[in-house]
Amino acid sequence: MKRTNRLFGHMAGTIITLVAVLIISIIFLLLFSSDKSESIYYFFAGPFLNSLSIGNMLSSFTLLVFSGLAITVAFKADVFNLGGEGQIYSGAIAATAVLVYLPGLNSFSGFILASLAAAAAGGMMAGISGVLKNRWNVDELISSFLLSNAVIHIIDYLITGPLWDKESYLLTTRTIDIRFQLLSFLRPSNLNSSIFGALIAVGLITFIFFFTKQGYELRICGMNREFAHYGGLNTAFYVTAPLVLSGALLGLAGSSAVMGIHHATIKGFYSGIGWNGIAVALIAGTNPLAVIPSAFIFAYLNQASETAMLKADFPFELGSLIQAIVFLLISSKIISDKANGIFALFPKKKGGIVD
Amino acid sequence: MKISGINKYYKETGVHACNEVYLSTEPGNILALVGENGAGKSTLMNILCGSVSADSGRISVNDRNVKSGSPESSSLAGIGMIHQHPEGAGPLSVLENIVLGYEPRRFKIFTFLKKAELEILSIQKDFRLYLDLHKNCSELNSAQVQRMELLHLLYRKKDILIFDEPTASLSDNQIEELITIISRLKNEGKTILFISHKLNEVFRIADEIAVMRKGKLILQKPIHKLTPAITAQEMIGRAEDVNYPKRNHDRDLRKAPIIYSIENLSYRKSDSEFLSNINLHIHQGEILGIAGIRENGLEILENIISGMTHPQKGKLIFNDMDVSGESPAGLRIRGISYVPADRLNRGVSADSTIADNLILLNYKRMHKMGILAPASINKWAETMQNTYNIDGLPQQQIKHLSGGNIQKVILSRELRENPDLIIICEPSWGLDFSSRNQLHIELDQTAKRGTAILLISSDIDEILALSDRISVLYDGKINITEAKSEMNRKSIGEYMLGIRSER
Repeated sequence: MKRTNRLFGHMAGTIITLVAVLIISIIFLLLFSSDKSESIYYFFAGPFLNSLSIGNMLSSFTLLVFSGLAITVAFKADVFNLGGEGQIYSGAIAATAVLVYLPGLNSFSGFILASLAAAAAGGMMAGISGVLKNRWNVDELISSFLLSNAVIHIIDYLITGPLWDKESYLLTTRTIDIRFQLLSFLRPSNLNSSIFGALIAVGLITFIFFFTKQGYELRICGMNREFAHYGGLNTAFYVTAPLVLSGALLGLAGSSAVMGIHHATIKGFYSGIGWNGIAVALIAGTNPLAVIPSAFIFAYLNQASETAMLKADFPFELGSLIQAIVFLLISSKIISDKANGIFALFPKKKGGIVD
Repeated sequence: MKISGINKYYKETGVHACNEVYLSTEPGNILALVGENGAGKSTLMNILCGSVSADSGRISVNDRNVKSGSPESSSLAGIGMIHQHPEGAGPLSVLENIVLGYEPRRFKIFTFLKKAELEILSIQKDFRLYLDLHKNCSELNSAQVQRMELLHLLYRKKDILIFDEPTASLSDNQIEELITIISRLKNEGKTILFISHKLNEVFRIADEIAVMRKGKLILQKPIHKLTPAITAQEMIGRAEDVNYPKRNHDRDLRKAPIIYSIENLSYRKSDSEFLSNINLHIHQGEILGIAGIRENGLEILENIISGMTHPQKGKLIFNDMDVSGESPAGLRIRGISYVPADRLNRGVSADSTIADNLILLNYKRMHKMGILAPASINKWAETMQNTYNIDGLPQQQIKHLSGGNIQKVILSRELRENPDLIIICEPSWGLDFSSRNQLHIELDQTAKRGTAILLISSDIDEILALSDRISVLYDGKINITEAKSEMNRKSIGEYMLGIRSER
């Protein structure tokens, strides 16, 4: 086996899952749409027909790369982070607070400070779960989820209360100054320069995983914690650190949405990004590079159902239904496991009396 | 049962695991399948069980074909396997484990455990396989788990029973019991396939022996036409001593400085897992063998000495320093290496690559300002693989290596650190004798260089072959510590069983 296999090992399962998702989508489309040919056309070609839909697709791709990558980091270290929504939200509110209320920032220092604040807010949220796990063996799966849910309500209060923009009809904070807003492309779509940030983050995480000492330690801890402990690695650190990193990336997803898309924190904007990030990470396996195609397909499916809905008689519920199917397929993981079985050299030897 | 012309070729590794294998056996026959690690025994057995599909060839039972690569088909044909390291589902009772997935039903909905219990009780009576059905599975020792698995297969009415190195983790007594059970099964007309490295056992129970070497079936002959020496020769393809290599015990180590000592160590986890008042010391360059039957405290002692668990009472002194509170990381820095008994879960990260496993202790010296280049990892792995003769490519997952190679990975990694003390536990579990002999020679040379070796083993022969001094652990206590010259196989056995005691 060559090194490429380590990096792309999970691709086979990923591709099979995605093909299955597409096939099921088509079946549903044929079943529920009256003008089938038009629906199919808009479903497949729709996202690429005009710059608006291309831009929106790439914009949701950006957010999904951030959140998918964040969850991948946690998975790689064999920890869970289900607090994505809360971490995105706190990242967004932190960035907004910095940009709206901190005086004397120029566009560069504002960008840096806001990103740092967002990463810190998200990282801290997730890090608490890590500390709880190490200290009192609290399951990080539960604690990250509960913490996130609690924080969402606090931030909702901030947005509708003290930070509310009284001049807006929406439940939103004040808008950040134009000098802090990221470069937009393909106007009037949501696409902005944070897409490069997301891609750089993927490259950086890949580099950390496979080319650094800490990456090695993290991978070993994720593979077999007992072995890592036996080898003298600091296993407790590699519960907290991956969670902090994961939370920080989710925080950045929040700040990129603030600086690139909404230019304020709108109540409930996180919806979908956090959970879809988990689905993206599950498709990607634990391979950071696979996050890119995986997030792309997700963004494409989103956009496809949206355009098909607008242009043809594609029912709105069908879009959600397809997403639900994707989630189901992935979380059952049957398909990708089967694929791994095909590519495995030897079957896993299993003890146990269940045959 | 007949196996004809089975072929299995692994493209990825280029290994011809089975090459035109023909094998046949009949009810009431015990066929022993012997061969070195990597000879293809496990692959053949996995093909029989249906968990691996053969490239070509046929398996038939009672002249009915068994579909290759289908566990259901093998199961229907009555083929069942007792695994080398059986596991039970922890929180369930023995009874529930036995019937798991095949519970009798009342009104098609409710499980009818009472009926299952009666059925199993009658099986137990027939085969005299006694085991408390209501015990929690997690309380069983490995021999009992094995028995539970056997009961499961008998409950499922399997007629062809495959035992995959069943004695690997059993004590002498438990082996005796197992042999009695197997011969009883034979008398009941079961077909038995027995895989083992230990020729002395094979010659005690088998009716027929089949030897495999490098994927080929070398011979299949009735037992009276073979001798252990000839069989061994066929297994390795050349004449070699089956016995353990002799060590020279010419050095007087009593005057060498004491490097490590255990003082008044006590630990209690449960009534079956405890140590009380352990006192031991080990000199520089000495091999101290700690013998004992599993479940007599060997596991806890291993965990405590290696820093995975901390003692509740007593001290561990290494180089005049109290190390009782140290983690494995701290012990490693001070110069203690450790080769665990549980190689696949603790000794290696099975899903990681060979290279990643080899650099575990060395990566801290390899990185340049935090950058750990894959090229330098591979280079290091290749050097280690060449020096210690380890198979495989650096980027291959380590779980695809044979047991002997995995042990070499662990040992080479630990020795490379030039430790002052090595804790090595059950080093030859699952190794064939040429790997084992190689390992023993390696350990002997390491000791000659002045490294102290603490050998924990339940294999009396291994303890006798390697140790300078021998301690016997029985029921959580040290029964005796004596120079090797004062001990023999029989006396160690008696101390291990607690028949004799020098306390």
